[in-house]
Amino acid sequence: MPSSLTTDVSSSNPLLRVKALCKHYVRGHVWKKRVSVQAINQVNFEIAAGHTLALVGTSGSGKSTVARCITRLERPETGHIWIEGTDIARLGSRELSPFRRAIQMIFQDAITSMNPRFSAAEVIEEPLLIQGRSRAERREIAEALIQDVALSPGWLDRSVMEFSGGQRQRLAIARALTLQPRLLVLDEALSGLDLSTQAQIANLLLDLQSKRCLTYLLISHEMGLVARMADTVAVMANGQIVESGDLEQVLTDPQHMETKNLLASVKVTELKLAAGAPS
Amino acid sequence: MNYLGRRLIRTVLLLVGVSVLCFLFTEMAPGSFFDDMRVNPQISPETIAMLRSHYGLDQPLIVRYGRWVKSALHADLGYSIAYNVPVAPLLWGRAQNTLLLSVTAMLLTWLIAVPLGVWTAARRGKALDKTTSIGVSLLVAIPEVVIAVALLAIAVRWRVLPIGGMKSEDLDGLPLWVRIKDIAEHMLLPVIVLTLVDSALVVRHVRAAVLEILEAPFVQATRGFGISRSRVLFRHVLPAAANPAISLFGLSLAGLLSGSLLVEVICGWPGLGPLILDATLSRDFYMVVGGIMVSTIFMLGGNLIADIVLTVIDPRIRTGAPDAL
Amino acid sequence: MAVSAQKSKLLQIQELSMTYFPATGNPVHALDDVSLEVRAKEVLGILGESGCGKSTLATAVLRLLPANCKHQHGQILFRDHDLLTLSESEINRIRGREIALVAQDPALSLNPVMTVGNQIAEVLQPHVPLQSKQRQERVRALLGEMGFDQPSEIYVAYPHQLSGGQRQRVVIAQAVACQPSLIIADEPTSKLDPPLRADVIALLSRIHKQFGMAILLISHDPTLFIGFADRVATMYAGRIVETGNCKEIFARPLHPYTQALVRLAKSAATDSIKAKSHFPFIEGDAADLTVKGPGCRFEPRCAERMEICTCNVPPDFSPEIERSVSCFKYAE
Repeated sequence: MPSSLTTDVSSSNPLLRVKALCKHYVRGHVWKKRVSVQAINQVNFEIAAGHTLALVGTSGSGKSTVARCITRLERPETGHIWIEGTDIARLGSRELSPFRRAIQMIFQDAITSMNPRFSAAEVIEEPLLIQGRSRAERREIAEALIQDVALSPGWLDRSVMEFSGGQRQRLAIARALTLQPRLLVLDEALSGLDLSTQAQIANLLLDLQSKRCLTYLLISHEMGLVARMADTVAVMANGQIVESGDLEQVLTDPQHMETKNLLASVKVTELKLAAGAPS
Repeated sequence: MNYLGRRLIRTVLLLVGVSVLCFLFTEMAPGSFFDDMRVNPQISPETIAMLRSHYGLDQPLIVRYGRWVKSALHADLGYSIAYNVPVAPLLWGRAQNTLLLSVTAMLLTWLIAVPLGVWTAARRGKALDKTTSIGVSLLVAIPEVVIAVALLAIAVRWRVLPIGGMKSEDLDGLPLWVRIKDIAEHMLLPVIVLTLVDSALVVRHVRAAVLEILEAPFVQATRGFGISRSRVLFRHVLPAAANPAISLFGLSLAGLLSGSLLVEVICGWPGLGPLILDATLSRDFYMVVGGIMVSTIFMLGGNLIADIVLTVIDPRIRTGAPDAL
Repeated sequence: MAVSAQKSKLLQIQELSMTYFPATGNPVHALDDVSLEVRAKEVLGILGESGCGKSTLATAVLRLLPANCKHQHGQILFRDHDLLTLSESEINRIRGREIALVAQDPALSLNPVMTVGNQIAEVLQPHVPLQSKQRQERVRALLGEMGFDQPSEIYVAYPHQLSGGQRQRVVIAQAVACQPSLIIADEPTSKLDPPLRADVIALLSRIHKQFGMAILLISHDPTLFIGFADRVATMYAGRIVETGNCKEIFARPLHPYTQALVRLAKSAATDSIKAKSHFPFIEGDAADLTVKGPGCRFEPRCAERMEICTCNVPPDFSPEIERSVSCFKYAE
């Protein structure tokens, strides 16, 4: 693993450190033998505070499994997940709760991660209900958050169904910020949006990162996004990390076949557009 | 241990559990078969005591249970005090009558209800759907008893059908088709009641399942290839909507012996229902236990068959798809 | 230029307007005076972002819209017959046989409980009279042409057993089965990983050359059209805002919206590594289709807006041959 991953000047201790993470699923026929499928195998990486690590790879490479293990939606069989020094890989649910606040996830399809019958306010305030805040407090926080994601506070009482795809994703970001997390896992959070909306949301995420000193784990198969948002890149294939390093290093000098393939498709489109337009 | 093996073990355990509970509850129920006799001053207590030991009812419960299990494994379910015959053959004879009724009703139900459910889903909001909806709601809301008695009253009033029993008297010697026609006439009333009540439920479930599938994108894609509406409905939509229907089918199978009890009693059909009812009322111990056990076997068997059918038919379950079930 | 103008017009959409009336909320003006033509054997691309009405256009051609979508005015002429006036059985003869739709998400547009081979065979069934065995042969041959190495194995597979790319090829096989004259491909690559997208376009290109069918390709990704489409039409808020030759449109986009889209696409690819730099975007939110103002729909986001743009909808101008732009900048 390249030593250049922890380059952050503010802290030498990484916010998130993952070592030897393994998870398998059992896939089986009902009456035939059950087969164990290794989803991720010996995954190692770390992210410094305030940095963005991009996890790239094709579908089925294990990126989402990594995301689910880190947010403890799944329990890894072996391995360690250190958040600011504490290993959360096998904590029980009670010890885990403070860490659940520290790590939040934003999913790909906003609409499937939200209750369509809720209003925007209810979506954002939901995490606060567990904390037992008063109604006025919750409303205040919701108003501040919805402005942080560049939506109007007047829309707080609108139903989720009335928002467009991009706007719903902004709501998902607001909801994720409610508990003041340290780490945001963006699991293909920008896929399925068109170019302009994607750009706006990516810009929002960049702004939020510098304003609130957030750390991002960006999972994506779009190299264009990765190129502008990430500090470091890790490439996954078949459940393992096959290449990782600084953004510039990986993009200009890819070593592994998988990385080269991923970059190749981007290069092709670049060429097409360049060929099509002299300007 | 594979799936089938695990299910069979679970079934056996369930049967044992049910039999134990049967024994316990029948024993705990107040009264016994001999209560009438006890009140009668002409029968001495010694006679009653002798009768009791004759039927083994003075033994402790555990012993009785043990002996029952031993003989049950030889298909001997004990002796009926009321009828003075072994339980098993009597049960079997009555069970056959019940099966005749319930299998016919089940076939009719599914033949009518599945297409009806599919059509009303396809023509949602139109005349057929609305009238069927009202009919179904009524049938579901009105108790089975009331429907049975109502139809019975109509039959009596207009004397169209024979009331009660399975066969008319003095039919021996007449040709086969006359006897069959006679049984069919006797059967008509209870079958109608059962079909009405069961099909209402099936129509609802099939309709809901089909409606849900009709929203799926693949239905629009299929129509986009110019396949006719009816083919899309029956060849593409219905198989995808089959899961809930098959579960219901399993419940139907499970209830073949036990679901028609009420109707049999009211219409006077000589099936398992009236037999178990009488046995329970008169505390005919082994008849009650035997009857319940036979019903239970059917119930568990029916559910097992339904689960197997579901696994075989739905390729997502069969091949362990990640988001099946 | 003259030759292509003489090419027979396969599909002509004339001033089509369609509005959705949802159970709750305001009516959605999905298509607003859309005029478009697809010529025989050509590849026409429709470029537009999500919510611009392009999917409505695709499903409207084959009359697959839900009951709550009302046709306000306009025609869809296929070989000079108005598809909107045909009876159910007549349009069924066209669906799949003359015009086929490759639906958006192959994971959702395939029946989960039917083998993919049977699903392709079902497309043949109403249109091509064949014995069952012959039909199976035909399906296997089709699967082979789609690039599958083991057609027999794929025939009996269920959709969930296939990968995303394989499912997409099955859906394309369904569309091609009866060799229609027009294929409408609605976002065929948006659910796929980037490396697979080029494969799908290559496949569509191959069948276009092999069978000579016209293709109406709908996407929000401009890079799909380059090198494949003959002409491109840009769509915004339910209207067609620019049409023209594909190379020309990307080399010199005329409508401000097209210009913005091309700029975005280029910056996403050619500017490559510039860590933590902001993405260029188009100011403002995507148009709200429930609101139908008097002026140009793009005006609020347009960098070059003029007085006239707020009060009038720009008609189609033709500043060049084979180019049509709906923008007052090009008014004579």
